[in-house]
Amino acid sequence: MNAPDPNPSGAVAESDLMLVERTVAGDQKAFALLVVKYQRRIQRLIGRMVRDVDLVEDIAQETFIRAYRALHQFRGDAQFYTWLYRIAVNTAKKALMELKRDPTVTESFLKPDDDDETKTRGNELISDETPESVFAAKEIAAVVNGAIAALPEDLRQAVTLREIEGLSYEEISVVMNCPIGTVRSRIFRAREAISAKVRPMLENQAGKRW
Amino acid sequence: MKPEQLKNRELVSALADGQLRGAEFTRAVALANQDGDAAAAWHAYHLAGEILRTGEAGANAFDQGFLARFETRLAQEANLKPALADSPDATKIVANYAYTKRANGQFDQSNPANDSANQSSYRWKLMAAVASLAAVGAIGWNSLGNLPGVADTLSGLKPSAQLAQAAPGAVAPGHARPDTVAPGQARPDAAAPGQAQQPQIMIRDPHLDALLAAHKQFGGTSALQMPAGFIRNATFEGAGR
Repeated sequence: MNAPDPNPSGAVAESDLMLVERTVAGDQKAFALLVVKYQRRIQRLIGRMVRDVDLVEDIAQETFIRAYRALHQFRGDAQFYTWLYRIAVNTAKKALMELKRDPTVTESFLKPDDDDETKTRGNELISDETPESVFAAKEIAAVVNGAIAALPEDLRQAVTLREIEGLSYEEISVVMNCPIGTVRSRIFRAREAISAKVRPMLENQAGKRW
Repeated sequence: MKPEQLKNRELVSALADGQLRGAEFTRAVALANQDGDAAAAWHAYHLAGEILRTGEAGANAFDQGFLARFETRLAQEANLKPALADSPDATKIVANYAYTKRANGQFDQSNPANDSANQSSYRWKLMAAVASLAAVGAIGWNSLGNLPGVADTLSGLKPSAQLAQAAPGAVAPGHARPDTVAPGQARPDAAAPGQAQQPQIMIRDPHLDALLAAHKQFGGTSALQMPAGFIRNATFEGAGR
């Protein structure tokens, strides 16, 4: 089982570790930022193992609760997401074992064992997905890609190097031959341009769970 | 957009990339939690990043209630299991109750704490413990009844029409004498304070005695439940064994 590193930048890993340390120190709100940051990724991971959308939600919630409870054990020798990934897989497998023992549960709850995050999902729908939810998700993805394409070259390059290539600000400043402050400003402006298109869609769809 | 709002969003963007330290980091964390606009920016920036990396949004892209549900559930579990925060094996806790309930269509999010994961087996253990106690109590009661003196006391509690014939003048316990003492007055045969009581009359049933005498040869004990001598010293001597 390979847990891909979604964001190899050491700065981000350090930021996650700082949020963990703040949480252990008593600031539960710091953990909330980690939940928002990784919730979709964890749900996608679990969704590859379990069909039922509500069960995916339950397992994802349980994953974060277990992580919260065990946060004092996180030593920082691995990235936070790697640690969270293992908890999610273990939690999902445990839930699947319980479901398999239940004779009233049908096979439609289950998927073949597959916890490889790098494997792309086919075009099949999970049981509770609707065409509307699939369309909405594709729509927002198209909006983001369109917003990226419409960016000035320097902003597009900065945000692409950061989000897709996972380079740190220092590395980007070397690639783009500009100060780190400029890198920070360009990435922020790129995000703002994308967010300006995405946030209205999010506000319109707030609370909907297809 | 206000300049301060823009500045807050810029801080959140830098926080997302791990670029903040010290006071800036603390301020950005507080903003992302307490300021609605900053929190929305945190959510939107990460969603955009995931879409850029994976090319897809996923059906849960619009779900902004996950965090609220998580905090509610965490608060509920904190009330139920305060010791878990110190558990070294927190990641191994089997929290399968919700999954089973969900699978059976019985999941109740509003009251997840009514039963624990081992509630069913706990009930059986409780029943077994109660049954064991009852059995021990019954055995103990029977053993107590076999003790000398106690058996006679217990048997004397049973009224019998023959008792009056067997011992004229004797009164079974629990039955009032014709000349019952009025309340407040001492019984005529009660020992005066300071004097020793006269020995109690043992009430015996002659029919019972006859039965016991007829059967004592077949039992290892006498009527008084004392081990018979021939049993205690029993030996077997046979020629040529």
